Formats: sequence, C-alpha cells, structure tokens
Amino acid sequence: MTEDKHDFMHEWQRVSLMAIVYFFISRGLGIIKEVAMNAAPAFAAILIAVDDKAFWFTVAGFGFIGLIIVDVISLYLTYRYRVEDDQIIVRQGVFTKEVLNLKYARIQNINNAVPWYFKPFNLVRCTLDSAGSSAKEVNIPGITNERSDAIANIIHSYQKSNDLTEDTSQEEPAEIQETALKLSNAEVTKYGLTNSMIFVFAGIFFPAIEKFIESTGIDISNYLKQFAVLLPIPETIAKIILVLLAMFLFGLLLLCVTALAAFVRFYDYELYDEGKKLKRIAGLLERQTIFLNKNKVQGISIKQNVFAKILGRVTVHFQQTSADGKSSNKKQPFIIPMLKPDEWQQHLKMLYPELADVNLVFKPIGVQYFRKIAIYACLLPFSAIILPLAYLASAYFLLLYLLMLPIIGFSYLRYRRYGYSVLDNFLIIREGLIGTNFHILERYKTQHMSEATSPSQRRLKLGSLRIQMAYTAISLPYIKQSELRSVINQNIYLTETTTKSWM
Amino acid sequence: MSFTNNPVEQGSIPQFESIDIKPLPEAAMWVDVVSWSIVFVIAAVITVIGRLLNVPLFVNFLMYWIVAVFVLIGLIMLWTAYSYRFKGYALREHDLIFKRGVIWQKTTILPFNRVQHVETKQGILQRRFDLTTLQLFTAGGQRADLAISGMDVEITEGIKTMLLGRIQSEQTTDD
Repeated sequence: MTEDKHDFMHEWQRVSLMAIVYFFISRGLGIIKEVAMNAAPAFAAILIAVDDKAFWFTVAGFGFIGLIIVDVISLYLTYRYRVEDDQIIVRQGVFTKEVLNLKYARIQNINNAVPWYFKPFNLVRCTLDSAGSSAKEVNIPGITNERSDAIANIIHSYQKSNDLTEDTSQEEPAEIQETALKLSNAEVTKYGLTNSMIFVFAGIFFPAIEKFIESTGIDISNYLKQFAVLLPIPETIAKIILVLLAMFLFGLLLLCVTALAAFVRFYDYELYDEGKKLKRIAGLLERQTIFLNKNKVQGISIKQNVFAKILGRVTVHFQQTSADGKSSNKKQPFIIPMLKPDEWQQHLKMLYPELADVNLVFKPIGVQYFRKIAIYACLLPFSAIILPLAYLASAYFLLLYLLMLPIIGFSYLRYRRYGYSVLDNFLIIREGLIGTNFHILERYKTQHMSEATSPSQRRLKLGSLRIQMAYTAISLPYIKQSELRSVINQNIYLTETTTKSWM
Repeated sequence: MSFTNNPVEQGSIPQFESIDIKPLPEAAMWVDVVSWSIVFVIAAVITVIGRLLNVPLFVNFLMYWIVAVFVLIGLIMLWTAYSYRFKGYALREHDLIFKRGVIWQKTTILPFNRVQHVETKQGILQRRFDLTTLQLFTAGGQRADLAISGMDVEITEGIKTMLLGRIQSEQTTDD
C-alpha cells in the first residue's frame, strides 16, 4: 500500500541518513574512475619519483578518503528534493548550489535499485531517467519503497492524463506481470566472457600497470628467466613458452574479472512483460529494477562478436534515445545479455508480436560489393607494391600476394553476412564479419534516409542505402536500385503518414 | 486515435526519384568560386611576400610552388563550378530532398516531422548575394543532418517558419 502522495508534495524533503553510504560509494567510485582514466600514468610516475613510497601512499590515501568524507557529508546535508504537480526539483551543493528541475513530461523511465546496504532499512534508490543528457538524470537515494512508489504513481498519473490523445488500442492492464525470461547465472557470466573491450582497456592501461609493477621492485622477467633455466628444454624455447603462458594467464585473469563483473551486474536476471513496459530485475550487490517503455524503443540490435560466436550466443540490445538525440543506452542499457541465436526472434514477441512467427528471408546484396573490395582495396594496392618489387628485385616477392588471402577471406565473409528483409512495418538488416548482427528497425521511426551511388553502381543499377535512426545510422551497400528506392519511398511514406509518436 | 500501419500499394506511394530537382541559384556557384578566389589571392600574396623576404621555398622552388598551388586552386574552382550543376533540392509537402555529388551522387530525404530544430547561417559573401545556408537537425546526429548551402533567403525563411511552427505545435501538444 502506498502512502498518501499529498503528504510530502510541495515541500522540501530530505533523504535517509543511510544515503551517506550511497553517496560515499558512488562519489568514491566516481573519483577513483576519474583518477584511473586521467591521472594513472602521472600517479605512477610520482610514485616512482618519491623515496618514502609507503609514507606518501598513506598520506595520499588518507587525504583522498578525507576529501570524499567532507564532500559526502556536505552533499547529504544539502540534498533536498521536492515533488510538485508537474515536476520534481532536486537541490544540492555547498559552494555551488545546484538546482535541477525535471518535468514529468520528460521522464522516460522510473527505476528502483536496492543496494545491499539499503535492504535491511526498506530503502531504495529511485532513478528518474529523463529524455535528455545523463546530467539531467535525477537520482534520489535512501527513500522508502513506499515513497518511491508514490512518486512513480504521481509521475505516471501525470503522464497518463497528458497522453489521452495517444493511441489507446494497445492499452493493457498495468497489473499484467508475466515473467518473460529468466537467465541462469551461468548464462549471464558468459556475457562477461564476450566483452572484448577489457583487452582494449588493458592495452590502454598497460603502461601504467608496467610502471606500477616497476615501482614495487618486482622483476617479472627475471623470475621467468630463472624459471626457464629449470625446465628440461632448450632455454630459448622455454622462455618463449613461459612468455606465451604469462600472456595467456593475464588474458585469463582479465576474462575472470569481466565474467565476475557480468555475474554481479546480471545476477538472477529476470525480465517481465508489463503490457506497455518491460521490467528487468538483476544485480547481486545492488538489485536493480529498470523499466523500459516499449514505444520508446527505436530499434533492436542482435549482436554477436567473435567471442559470442565461439560461445554460440547473441546479445539483444533494446535501443533507446533521448529528446536531444543523444543515445541514452550508455546511461541505462537495456539488454538481454545471452540468448541462443535461434531464440531471439521468439523473445521479440514481447515487443513486436508480429515478428515472432515470421519466417525471415534475407535478400543478399550484390556480389559487386565483394569484387569492389577485392579489387580496389586489395588487388590494386598489393600489385602496386609487389609487381615493381618482383620486376626490379626478385620474383619471390610475388609470394607476398598470399598475404591478400586473409583480407579477401574476411571481405567475402562480410559480403555473405550482409542481407536485408523488408516487412510491412519493419526493416531487418543483417551484417557482421565472424559473428552475425541484426538490426530490427521500425520503419516509421526513421529520421532520414539517403541513397548513394558511385559511377559503377549507377551503371549496374545498384546503390547504397543509409538509414538514420534516432540511436544510430545503418548502411546497406550494393542493393538493387529499384529495391533501394522502394524501401526509401515506403519508409518515408510510413514516417510521414503515421500519427504515432516516434519517441 | 488508433494507429494503423497497413501495407499500401506501391503505386500510391510518392516516388522521390521522380521529383524534379530544383537547382540552387547560380549565385550559389559564384559564392563558392569567389570564396576560392580569395584563397587564390591569399596564396599569391604569400608567394610575393615569401619571395621578397627571400624565404628558401619561394627562392629555390618558386616555379614549382606557383604551378602546384595555383593549378590546385584552379582545379578546385573549376570543380566547384562544375559540381554546382549536380546540386539541387526539392521541396515536397512533407519532406525536403537534397541531391548532390558529381562522381558519388547522394540523395537525402528528410521528413519534416522528424526535424528537431532548424538553423540558418549567412556568411559575408552569402549576404552580398542574398543567399543562406539551411541546416536541419533530427534526433539522429550531433551535427546537421542536412545542410544546404546557397539557398535563397526567402525560400529558407519560408521553410524555417513552417518548420518552427510545426515543432512549436508538437511541443505544445506534448506539454
């Protein structure tokens, strides 16, 4: 049962004392992230330069924690929120007073998260996800579950009363709460294994890690050399094997970290279909509930990178956008982390019922796409280098043509992955390299479209299509000009004649 | 109001490719050519000053410099004048079509009901020729989704007023 919503409206409200814990963790993590991103190499360099490392490390640590404590207490003491009839206002700050007004009309999602330290006190963190930049997001930590529900009700009532002119044919009772999908923790952990970005980050931070290890005085290469001598194989081979083994173990460690992160983030993943909304609950340390308005979805991307291909899984991304055109997926991505490739279409029925049982037939793009890459991006540049070398120096240089094979192989794979399926209300584009990705686009949500042709394409009556959606642009090269124009004309027609809001 | 999205007969859908594309005013070409002429003059001034100050590049490689720079700028000017013939737009009831490109030709169709905001820009030369640059922004990108340089001020203002009226009425409905 929710409390009377009028009790707390129109007056400044404080948050629970427990919000200090949330502020401490979130601010602390934020500062650590900033330092790691921007000042890690400088920090490592200073650490190397000073003599009394332990002393300075302790001073820096205590200074850092002290700063966060002062910041957090001042934030808690000044943090107030106020619920009005059409907006919520949040103010905070000591030296710089910050006042944030968020109109209910701009709120896209209302999400509740229950960090483990809030659970015994029946407290939640309420996030109002606005149709704007992430800076406009309102976060109210440390309010009761009932208060959060009451705020959600006020916002929903306001939005409902202002949405009367919208389509009501899809109206469904709000009580519908069907478990659409549950993922095992083993499955969500696999999602971590598909995160290739960890290796990119490792590459970026490697110099800082190296400096740090140097500063500790540990000489890993010396250990490896000593160990290599002990092995009953030639020393050079032993060193190579040990270096490869060390790299493998480092990679394995990174994968374990990312798998653990996925496990914590998506622990006990549950997806509910609530009629007009989808609800996702997941998380180990912080049980997070995220809502997604179905009509706000701009498209669905089914993604499969090389690691997901090896694991035989795909990830489903529900793509959203905000009013200012910036993708809002970065702040609150709504994804199904792991599904088998033959399952995604069936699970789309919760959003696009008409797609669930359609036999998707994909038309290929023109083979000229592959020929173009093979000739202009491969054969000609290679020949420009290899033929003069073979003529002037040695015929053995012709063997360099073998280097073309992987490029041609990948080009062929890319060509084969491209495909498109045109349905009444949807355009589905398939692409990829090793894995296969799909983009499911609601045609009336198109922002604008382009046709591009090169002289050879015009001669062959082919063209390339570019569809700008609110969250990204998607291209489809080398399709028949007649089909390309038909797709554009139909998309534009649907976009211009629809009475339904795209956002 | 319920939304239907039934398939329609292909013949009843307006075809963007059959619309007559209106060329940009000839003055738009002259604005571009004059702009490049200014670059031409700047390059000439630099050459003269460099020669007078005995800068090695202009002393030892004067002829190469003159030929390279001036041929390049000359070609760009010719290309600018030529490409003008391939640039044009068509204004339909519900969208704007913009076509450009000599070798790689590109046609963009932007529905008015997706425009988030409109901007017009007018450089010094454009002011002289009564031309302007129209920029249309949708939710799709950070930069202008469609920028047409060299449109008549009168037409641009008409489009701008119409679009701002549409956006304003949509916002009023939202609120």
